[in-house]
Amino acid sequence: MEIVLTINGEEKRVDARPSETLLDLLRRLGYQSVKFGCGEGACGSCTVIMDGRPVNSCLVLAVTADRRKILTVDGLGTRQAPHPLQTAFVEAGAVQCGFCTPGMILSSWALLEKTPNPSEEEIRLALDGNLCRCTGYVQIIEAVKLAAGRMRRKKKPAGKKKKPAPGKKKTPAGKKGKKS
Amino acid sequence: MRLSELKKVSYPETVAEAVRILAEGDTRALPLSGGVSFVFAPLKSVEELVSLSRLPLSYIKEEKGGLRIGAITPVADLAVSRAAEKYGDGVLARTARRIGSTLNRNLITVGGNLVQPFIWSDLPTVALVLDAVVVIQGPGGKRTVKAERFFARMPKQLLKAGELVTEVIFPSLPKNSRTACEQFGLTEVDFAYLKTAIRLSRTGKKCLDLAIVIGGATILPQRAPGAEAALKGKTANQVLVNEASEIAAEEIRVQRDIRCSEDYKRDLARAQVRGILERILLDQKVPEWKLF
Repeated sequence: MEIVLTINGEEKRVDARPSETLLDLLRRLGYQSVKFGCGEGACGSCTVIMDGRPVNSCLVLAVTADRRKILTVDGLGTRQAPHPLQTAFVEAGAVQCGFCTPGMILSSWALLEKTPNPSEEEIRLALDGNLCRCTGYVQIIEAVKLAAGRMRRKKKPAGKKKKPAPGKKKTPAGKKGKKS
Repeated sequence: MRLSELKKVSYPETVAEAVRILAEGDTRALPLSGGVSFVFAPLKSVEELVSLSRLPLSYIKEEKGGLRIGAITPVADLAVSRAAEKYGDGVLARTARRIGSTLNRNLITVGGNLVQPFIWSDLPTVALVLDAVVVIQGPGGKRTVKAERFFARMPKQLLKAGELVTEVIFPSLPKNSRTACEQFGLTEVDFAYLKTAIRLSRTGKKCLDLAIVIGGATILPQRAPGAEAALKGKTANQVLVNEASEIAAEEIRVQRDIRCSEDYKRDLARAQVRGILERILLDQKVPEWKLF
């Protein structure tokens, strides 16, 4: 059955088999970053963003996904220009075996799109469907916080620079803000 | 999973179109909302799937008569809805938050959770305790069914050919009403062993009206009429509350569960009914059950 999917911004006409899940279809099309873990919506390895929401692609029948917009981790960044979340996961040591990482990053991305400054509880809730069998959750949560901070700073509009009040010393570049 | 007979998938954009396609397809056509339960247990004989994903039925509306929730509203939306949070002491939103994981909640729909209940389903228990009204549309027009009748047997048996659930209405509650729901599972994402929901209205400690519903003992949620009768119209005290919880534990039907014995589930029912009543009827400071 022919369906139209927009995968990572690219519209594709694909032939979906009647019994195929979206996970099977994406992997057949070469999106190997979408992992097969449990096959029953429990582990989150197969997470994709469907119309802006993170979902288990193993629970979506491919033929019912016509005209949906799908984002896999391949659509977030490249090796040359990784997404801030991808960089943060590497820097925070949040990647061990790496099997859960695509799903973790996509769930985190969906969270940060809606909640740019999430609390730890919100991060935990957003990742409650993504299991890491290496149990590196602490670093994963740290990575999301790190990425959130960077993304917020990046998104901040470059407003007009305030002129220093007369008589006040100029702050030297790089010395602004809190030390961390 | 093999859907060897599947020949067509339709994407109606109006309810009328969906009803027409379903009526023409008769038993060979199947409506699909979130589709989660279908992926788990597909009907191999199905020839046509009617995806409801494009119907304008994803909404949560706060109106004078209560809360109207479209059938294909993801439970993730219900979990964070301010209107749901305000309604019935927040029991609806809290229950939605307990369904599966974030990833599951984005797929599972309110209508789907009600029409295709499993022993672990969460919404049927609160829909029954809150006296929800299910709106059904079919070739013969629109009809409404109260939750009590809707869950008297497997809801699908209630739907005639071409009919589909379009909306659930949670009616306004009196100001003096209190609602609470508790469940017990081994982890936060575990299927609950048992859950209890209670709604009551009271003057002082006199219980004017109440509904006690137990979920997770059988696939369909069940009222505990004996326990309700023990309290209704009476001024409650600890003895009456203990008595009612005892009756509830004894009168419910308990289906076999490989995780625990029947007695264990009855003990859970007794403890949950008593705990909730102590909190919302006797105003005792009983901590809500923590998981683990």
